[in-house]
Amino acid sequence: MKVIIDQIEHEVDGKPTILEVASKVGVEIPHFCYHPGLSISGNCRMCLVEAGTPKMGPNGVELDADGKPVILWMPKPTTACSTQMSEGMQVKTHKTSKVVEEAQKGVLEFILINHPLDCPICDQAGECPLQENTFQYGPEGSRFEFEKNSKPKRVELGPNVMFDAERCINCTRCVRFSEEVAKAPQLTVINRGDRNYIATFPGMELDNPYSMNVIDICPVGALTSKHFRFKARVWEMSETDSICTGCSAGCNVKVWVKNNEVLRVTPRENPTVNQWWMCDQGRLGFTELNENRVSGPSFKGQAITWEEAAAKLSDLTGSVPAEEIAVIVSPFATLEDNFAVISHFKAAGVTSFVRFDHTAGSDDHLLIKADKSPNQAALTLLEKKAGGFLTGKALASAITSGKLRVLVSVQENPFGGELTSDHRSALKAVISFSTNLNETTSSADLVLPAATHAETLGTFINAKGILQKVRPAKILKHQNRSLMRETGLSRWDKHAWKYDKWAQPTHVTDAKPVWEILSGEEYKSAEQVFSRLAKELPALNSVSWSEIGTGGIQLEPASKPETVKP
Amino acid sequence: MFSFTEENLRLIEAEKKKYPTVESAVMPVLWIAQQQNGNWLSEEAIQAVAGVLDLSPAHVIGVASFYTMYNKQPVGKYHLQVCSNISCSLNGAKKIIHHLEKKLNLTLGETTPDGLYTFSEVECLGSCGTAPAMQVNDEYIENLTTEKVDELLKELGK
Repeated sequence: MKVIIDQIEHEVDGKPTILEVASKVGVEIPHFCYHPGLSISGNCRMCLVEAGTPKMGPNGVELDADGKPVILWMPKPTTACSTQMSEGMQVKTHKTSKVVEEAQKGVLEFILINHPLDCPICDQAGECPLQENTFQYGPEGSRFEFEKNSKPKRVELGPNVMFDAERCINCTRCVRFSEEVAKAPQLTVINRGDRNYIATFPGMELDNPYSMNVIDICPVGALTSKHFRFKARVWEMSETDSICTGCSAGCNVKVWVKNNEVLRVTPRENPTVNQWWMCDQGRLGFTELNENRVSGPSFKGQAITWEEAAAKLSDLTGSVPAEEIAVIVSPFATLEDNFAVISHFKAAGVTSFVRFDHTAGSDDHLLIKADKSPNQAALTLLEKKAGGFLTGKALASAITSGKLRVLVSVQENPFGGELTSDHRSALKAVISFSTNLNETTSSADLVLPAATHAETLGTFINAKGILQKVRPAKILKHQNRSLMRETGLSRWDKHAWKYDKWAQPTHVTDAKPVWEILSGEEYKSAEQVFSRLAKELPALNSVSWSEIGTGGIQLEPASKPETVKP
Repeated sequence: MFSFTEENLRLIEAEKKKYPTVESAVMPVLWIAQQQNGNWLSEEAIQAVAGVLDLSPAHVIGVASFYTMYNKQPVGKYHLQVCSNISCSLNGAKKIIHHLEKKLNLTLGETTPDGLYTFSEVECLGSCGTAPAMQVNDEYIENLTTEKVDELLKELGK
C-alpha cells in the first residue's frame, strides 16, 4: 500500500506502525518507551505525529478541487508507535508540523519536571536518549518553579543492577523486557502518578540471567550497572564490534575499552544471532581480559624472549618422537589459531589431537547454550584435517600408559580438571599457550602468552553455524600491524599525542595470537590464515574474509564428519 | 502466614470465570484478600493472591499499590475516611477533619494506639448532595456536623 510521510510517498507491505515505517525510510521520530524487541506501550508520548486517512465517499476516495484526496486528520496528535498505517494514510512529523513540534516540546517539558538533570554525574550521559532528544526536540527551559519530588535513590534491584527512581521516566521498557523476553516478571511499576517508580516485590531481587539488558534499554540513567558505575564517561571509551565467547551462542557485542582496559561489554543488534540481548554471564566475563594475564614467554618460571621461546618449543617437541606428542586444540581460540596449530604440528608428524568437551547444563529459552565453549563448530570443521580428536578421558589414559610424553595445550587448562598431578609427573614436558594464569601455566615447562579474543582478529563459528569475527579491542605490546588496523579507537586515542598522560595505555600484555607465534614468517595476518584455510576446508570454500563483516554469515550445515581414531 | 479460606477460594474461582484473562481478576481477588486479612493487604496476602492467580507477586503489588482503597498498612477497627473534595470542603469538611484530629489526637493517616480508629482523608465519595460526608469502613455518614461526629464516636467507642 501507499502511505505518505512528510509529503513523500512510500510503498509499504503488511500492517506496520507509523514508527516502523518511519525508521525504515529514515525519518527519525523521537521515542523512549518503544523498543523494536518489546510490546508496544505508548506511554511516553514522545513519538506524537499528526496522522490522517483519506475520506471515503460512495465512489471511493473523495478528491478535492485539485484532484488530491481529501484527508480526514485526527483531531489531536497520535502516537506513531501504536498507530497502524493504512492505505493512503498521511503523516506529518515534526519536520512538517508545527503542532507536532510543540507537542514534543510539551512532552519533554513534562518528562523533565521531576527529572533530576544530574547529567554531569550520570553514567548514561553521552548515550542517553533523554539527553539527546531534549537537545534536539526539547524546550529551551522549564516553567516548573516548584521543588522536584524525591524518590528512592541507589536501590539495589539485584546483584547487577542499581536503580535511581528520580531519573526514571516510567517508560516500562525494563518491566516489559523482564516479562516478555527474560520470562522472569520480577519488575513492576508501583504507586501512582508522579510518585510511581519501578520496583521488585519486597524481599525479591531482579536476578534473572538476562537482568542487565534492562540497563541497555533504559532510555535514561535510572538503571545502571553495579560493575560499571562511575568507571568511565561514555566518550572516553573506544567501542569495538566483536562477539561474546562465553558460550556457543556467539552473541554480537561491543567491547568498551579505556586505557587499554576492558570496562564493559554490551550487546550489539544482530537479528539472526542475539537480536538486542545477551546474558549477564557473558557480559561480566570480561575481567579475565584485564586481570591474571600471562605476559611474556617463560621457561620453568624464568622470563625468556620470544626467540628463545621459539627455540625451546622446537627443542621440547623435538625431544621425543612425534607419536608421543599430544596437542590439545581449543574451542576458545579462533578458527585461524586452531588451523595454524593443527597445520604446524601435523607437519611435524603429530597424530594425537585432543579436544575437550565444555557442555554444562542445558540450553535455555533465549540465548544461553549448554556448550560453554564458543568455537566447537570450528573444531568440527578441522576434525578431518586433524585426523579426528581424542577426548579428555582418552588423553588421560594415554598419558598414564606412557604412550604420550609431551603435552601441548593451546588455550585450555587440562590440569584444571581433566588431568591430575599424577599425569603431570608422567609427562616429560608440558607446553602451554595460554591467555591467563592457571593450573596448567603454573605446572608447564614452557608458557607462551596467547592473545585473548579481545586482542586478536579471527573467526568463530557459533552453535547455529554462523561464522563471525572477533576484533581487537585492546592493543598488545608487540602489536601486529594487521591487528592494529582493526582496533577500535576512541576520540581520546585518535586525538592524543604521546605526551598526554591519559594517552599512555596501561594494562598492555606481552602476548601474541597463537597463529603468529607458530607460523613465524608464514602468515602476515589473520586474513592470510583464513584465506589458506578457506581453500582447504570445503565448508568455507566460497567464503571471503571481507564478506563476514560485522554481522557474520550463515554456513551451509556441514555433513557429519567421520571420526578417525588414531 | 496468610492463606485463603475454603469459601474465599470458591469465590475466587467464581471471579476468575468472569474474565477472559486472570490479570483481570486481580482487583476482585485483592479485595477478597483484604477483607479476609482484617481490612488490609500484607505482603503475604499479596503473595497469596499472586499464588492463586498464577501471576508474579511483582505484578500484583503493582496493582495493589496503584489503588488507595487497598490498604497496604494495618488499619483500625473503624476506618474513618473523610471526604475533602470540593463540595465537602465548601460545606466544612476541614472543620470536621480538625475536630476529629483534636478529638482522636491523631494526624491524617494514623491509627489510634488501641487500634480502634484509623483516620484518613479521601477524594470525592460521590456524596456531594449530602456533604460533608465520611465513610466508616463501608458505611456512609452524611451531612456531618461536629455534634454528629461526637455522637458517632460515642456510639463506636462502646
